[in-house]
Amino acid sequence: MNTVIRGKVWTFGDNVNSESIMATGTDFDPAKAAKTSLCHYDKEFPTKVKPGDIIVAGRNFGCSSSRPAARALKFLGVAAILCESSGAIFYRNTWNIGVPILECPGISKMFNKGDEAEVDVSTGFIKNLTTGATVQAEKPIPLLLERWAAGGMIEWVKSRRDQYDTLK
Amino acid sequence: MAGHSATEKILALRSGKKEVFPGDVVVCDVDGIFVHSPWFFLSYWKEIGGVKRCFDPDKLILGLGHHVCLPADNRYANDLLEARKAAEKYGFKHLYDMGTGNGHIIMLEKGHVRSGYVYVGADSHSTIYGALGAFGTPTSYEVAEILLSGKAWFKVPSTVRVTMEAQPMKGVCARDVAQYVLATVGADGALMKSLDFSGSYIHSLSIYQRMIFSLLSVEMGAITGFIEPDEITRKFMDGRVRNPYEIVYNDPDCVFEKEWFVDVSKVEPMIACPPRPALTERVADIEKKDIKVHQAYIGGCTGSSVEDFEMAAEILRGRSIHPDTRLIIVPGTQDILKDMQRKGLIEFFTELGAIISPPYCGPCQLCCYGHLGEEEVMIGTHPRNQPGRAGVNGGIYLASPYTVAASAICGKITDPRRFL
Repeated sequence: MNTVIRGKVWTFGDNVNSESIMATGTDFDPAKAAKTSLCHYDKEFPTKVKPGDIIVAGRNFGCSSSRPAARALKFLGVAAILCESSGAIFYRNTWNIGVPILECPGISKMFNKGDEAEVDVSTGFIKNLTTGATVQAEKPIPLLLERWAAGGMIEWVKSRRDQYDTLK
Repeated sequence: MAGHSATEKILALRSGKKEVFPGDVVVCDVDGIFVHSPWFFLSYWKEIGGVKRCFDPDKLILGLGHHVCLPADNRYANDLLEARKAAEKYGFKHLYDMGTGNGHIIMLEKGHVRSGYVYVGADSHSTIYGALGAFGTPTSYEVAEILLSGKAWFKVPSTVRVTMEAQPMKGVCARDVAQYVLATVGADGALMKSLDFSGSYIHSLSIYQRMIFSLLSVEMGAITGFIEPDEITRKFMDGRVRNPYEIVYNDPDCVFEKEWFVDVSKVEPMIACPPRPALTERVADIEKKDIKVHQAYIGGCTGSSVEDFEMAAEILRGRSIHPDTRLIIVPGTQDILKDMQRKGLIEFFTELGAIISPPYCGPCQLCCYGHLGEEEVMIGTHPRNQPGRAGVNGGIYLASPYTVAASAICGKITDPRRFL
């Protein structure tokens, strides 16, 4: 499986909260939420983000509410999230929704908005193709890589139905 | 070798291991799952297809009345209808419907949480279950899978500790101390950690006031907010929990990754300013900014107990609400509402001209009512003020029932000590 992703970077700061990615009042419908996703922090984002783009963010990205916020980002085609650190629930949700999220101290200083990034999700190796800078992110645990590779939690469960008495 | 924290010990117990260490990945048996919006996991179940049942219908607690006390639109009404039909189809045993109140408090009041076990919630505030010495943590999207397997994975967190000693000055309560802790630890100071609260102060508090600390742990990034059980915890659980509990303590020689000490006697009234709960200042400093308050709200996961309303009443007695301010009273649960009635608090707030709401989690976000007009300011005892929840407006401030009551009297953010 190809685990290398390349894309154009959008940058965000620290403590970007999940409600700003998927706002209350959008019924948590990914398509509706996508219309205002992250606009509180970057007005251009919801209209100008392109499938395959990558988010580079600061500390505690996706903190606060447990809503499945990454579904809005998946709807917009965001291919990966690279951050200094991530909110705990957002981190679990995002991998399970099928979007890779890598924690990498120092990452926010390494990218400017519009740079080209390359990341190998399985190894956590990140390159800034615009500047040539490289960095090693924390390696994700095998369980999450497995779920991501399956296409997210739902597909992962479907691929191992025989493991569940509740599906028999 | 150093001993283990209570969190490590609970995770070892529930994953069938002799001991576990921070960084280990474990798969634990789950003793309870709290869900307020079951239509999410039901839609994921539909995508999975062929779901016959949940692993144990006794372990799922549906708090339909958490976000709403009554549906404000057809979409929500239909979601609720779907949830009730699903509960019947799958035989879910615990369904708390409209008017029952805040699901997290119900989880504790109705005996669904016991010391020493693992609880997950679809809501981020599920760290609250640590108030009874359990491991409680949010998992959200994965609830759909946990309901099928009965198991949840965790990367064992390291434990950090906040030790609080002494008693607060007049006009300062648990919410102020908790806000002070938030400011000290920071929005990500306990990120992915287990946050342990210790010291004489936390053990002097009722379970309802302890809940504030465990719940707000998530605003410091923690995955759980653990408080070692004591006599107060036992008394609270006895007569409520149906299954035996297992009290788990921190080993005396366990090492905390980081520790903060708080002298509670020095804490002044504190207030969280927009855009996040950890952005906390002294009320005395914010008061100088002359911030007009349009909506004052007492309720929410962190301020809807009888004690919270008593504190507010202490300030409001013999005074009146400012004509430009509306005061909303939202009892946490039906049990709390009944207790308020017995104590004359409902009559008191009604006479005062406050808006009395049925129990639910309140206008912490726009699920039901209490929307703000542009430029309007709200001050409340609820846990959150981030953008995208109840709008951005003129700003949402979070404070103690004392401060909210004092601000309702003056129509602007006010230090409550002038009224005590």
